[in-house]
Amino acid sequence: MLEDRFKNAAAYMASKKNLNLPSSTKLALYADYKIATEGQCTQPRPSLIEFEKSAKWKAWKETGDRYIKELDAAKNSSASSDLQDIAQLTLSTKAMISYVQRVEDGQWGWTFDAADSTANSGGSIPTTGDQDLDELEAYLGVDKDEISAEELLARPYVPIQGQMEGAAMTASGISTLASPTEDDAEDDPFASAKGGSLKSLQAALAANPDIASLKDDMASSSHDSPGFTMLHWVCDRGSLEKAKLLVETYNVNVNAQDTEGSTPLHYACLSGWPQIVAYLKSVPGIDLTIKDNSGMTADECLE
Amino acid sequence: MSGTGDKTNKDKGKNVARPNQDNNAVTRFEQELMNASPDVQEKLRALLQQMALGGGAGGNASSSGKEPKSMEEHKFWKTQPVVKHDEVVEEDGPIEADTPHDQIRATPYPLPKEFEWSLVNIEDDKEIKELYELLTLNYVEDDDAMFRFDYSADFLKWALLPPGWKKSWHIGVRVASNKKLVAFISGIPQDVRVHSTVKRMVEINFLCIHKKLRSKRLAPVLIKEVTRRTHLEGIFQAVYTAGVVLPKPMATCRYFHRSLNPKKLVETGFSHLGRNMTMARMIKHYKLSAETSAPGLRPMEEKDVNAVAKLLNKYLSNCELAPHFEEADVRHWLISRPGVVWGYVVENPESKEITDFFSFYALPSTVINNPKHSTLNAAYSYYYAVQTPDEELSKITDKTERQTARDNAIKERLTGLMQDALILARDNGFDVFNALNLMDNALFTEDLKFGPGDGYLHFYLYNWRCKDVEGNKVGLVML
Repeated sequence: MLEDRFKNAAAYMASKKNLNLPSSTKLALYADYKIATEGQCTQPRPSLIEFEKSAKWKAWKETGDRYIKELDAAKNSSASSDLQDIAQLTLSTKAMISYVQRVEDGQWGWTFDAADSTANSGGSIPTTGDQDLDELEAYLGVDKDEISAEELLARPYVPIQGQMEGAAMTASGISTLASPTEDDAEDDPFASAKGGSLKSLQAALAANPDIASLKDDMASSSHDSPGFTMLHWVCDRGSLEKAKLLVETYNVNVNAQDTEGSTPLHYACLSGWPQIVAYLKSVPGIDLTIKDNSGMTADECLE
Repeated sequence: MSGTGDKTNKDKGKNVARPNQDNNAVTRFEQELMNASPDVQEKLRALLQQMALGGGAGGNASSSGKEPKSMEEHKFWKTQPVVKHDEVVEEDGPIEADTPHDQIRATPYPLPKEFEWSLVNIEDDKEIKELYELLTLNYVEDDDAMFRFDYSADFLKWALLPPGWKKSWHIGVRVASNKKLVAFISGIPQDVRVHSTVKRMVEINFLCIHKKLRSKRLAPVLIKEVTRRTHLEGIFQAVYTAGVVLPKPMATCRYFHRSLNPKKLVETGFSHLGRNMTMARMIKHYKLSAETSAPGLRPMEEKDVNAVAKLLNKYLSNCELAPHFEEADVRHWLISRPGVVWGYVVENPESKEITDFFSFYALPSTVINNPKHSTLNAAYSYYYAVQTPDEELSKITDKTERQTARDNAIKERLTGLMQDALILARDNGFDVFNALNLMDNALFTEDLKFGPGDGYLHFYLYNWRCKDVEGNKVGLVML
């Protein structure tokens, strides 16, 4: 009887999505519904940025905890005859009672018709006879607590894990170049010149100013840069701020040549960084006539 | 959203006892893994893991963090006429019989009540703009959400209005209250040959659901509806592709990328500069000649349509999955359209015979949140054909030997041709040239400095059971 009333009330509420209930009421109904149908919440807490899920999880979990406490308390004090009835309740029955009461108290137009409920016993949705369609409706109709499309569209987009189905199904996913696996770069004194922020280079230089003028003498096959200085790397990879730091604060040699005879300016030209080229050319003492081993000046290397 | 609560609990039970039915899909890659050099093996293995994880209608390849789905968990696909993961196909054929016309559902499938069906008129500028906006903001991204496909309006017209296109297959879903377009799926008709059977099929593409409505389970109903409308036109087979593993790929290809503008690719995060590689050397490494090399290379024109159709269909006869192109198809798909597709032929300067042709299309991606670049201009290799020495090849009886002889005979010619394609792509402002390892692409990708991508593309057939097709026997390019 209680179960029929509960199912009937739940079906009624599911059909009345335009009631505009305050979210606290919705959450309370949700919590009772979940406890009644599934018991106490055993799911892991959702990520905090998933507001909707978090709120529901919290309502379910906290209501469940409260009911369990109340039931335990009733059991322990069963000496008092008033509470004897309550002690017999299961968690799910307690939630069903609470749910039905809420729906009745809310006065949203629900009345219980026993005849109607027996016709629909088991709480199943009436079938259409089209198996395909029934399957689809069952699939679409899973969510009793859904928020409206308009409401969703109005919200800021927060990606939810595992909900990419629409995009993932026929489209290919954009492929990018697979990145090579590399050894750890921890022992590389040039790491902060090759990549990372200006701050990381500042920190590295502050810790060890000598590296500003260090030459890369590792001539292993994995290096195509023997004889590089910090400034070579910075000008090859294109960081104007780092170049300025090295030149203006650490007074590095702007005309340093690597084993191929190329200067930082050669690399800035080869890699096509016009701002760095212009900057280096403005540095007093820059020698624009230096030729690399193939006889080219920096200007002749310009793209 | 809610509703996930009960499912998660139930699924836990299933995960424990479930047989690993994605094994077949995985084996293919295990083989590829064995062939790879040791240093890329680890990377490949990671990719493999990632891919296998993503299977299924609710899956996201990159982040679901779950084991591959069994058929039971493919709530939707298990109801559909598709080959199951553990199924061994002995003979090609339909999975279910054609539905008699009077038994096809006459009315659209029901949508959740706040939505309504709405055909999108691709010929109407206002409606195509709505579609363009839906796709641009909500379509496919890469795993790290750095890039998103940005199909242009002209591209969509090209893709959705080929010969024989049907208005009823450009299916949109709008929010009933404010008419906002929030979902789309499309089909175009195409004769497709699978092994030795030619079938009129529908190519399904551009399934897209607004990001914020992904929880609304619209994808299954969109698929059901496009299937119904396809059935109404007397077509019962479909072909589609996906980056994720669904039941069950009949072919799988990997993306390869050829850098044309290496500096921009590094700056956008599309590619990575090795720790000890200089930008200067990378630029030099990818530098192409100033001019194309094939004598007689010129843009394809209307007068070439007949010759190209013959050349292409003959070339594709070497494939086990391929479209059959009529002249009207060749005219539509392969003659250049500004900003959309580029088609070139090689005309023998003496005999005036059309000996080869190639094409590529433009599919830019939006670069998400990059201070310097907003668009990545990618060219995708499309159809091409070279002549094959059929008479000589027919004398070789052993199938494997014949294939090897064929490959050797066309490799140099094809490589030169695709090098010209790269040069033309560069001249047209593209940053990268992409190709799957389908058709004979594997013959030139290494020589032309393509690098392997982190993406795979799986090919699927709907209501058609067939033996698997090797990547290099795939001759169908889907946009």
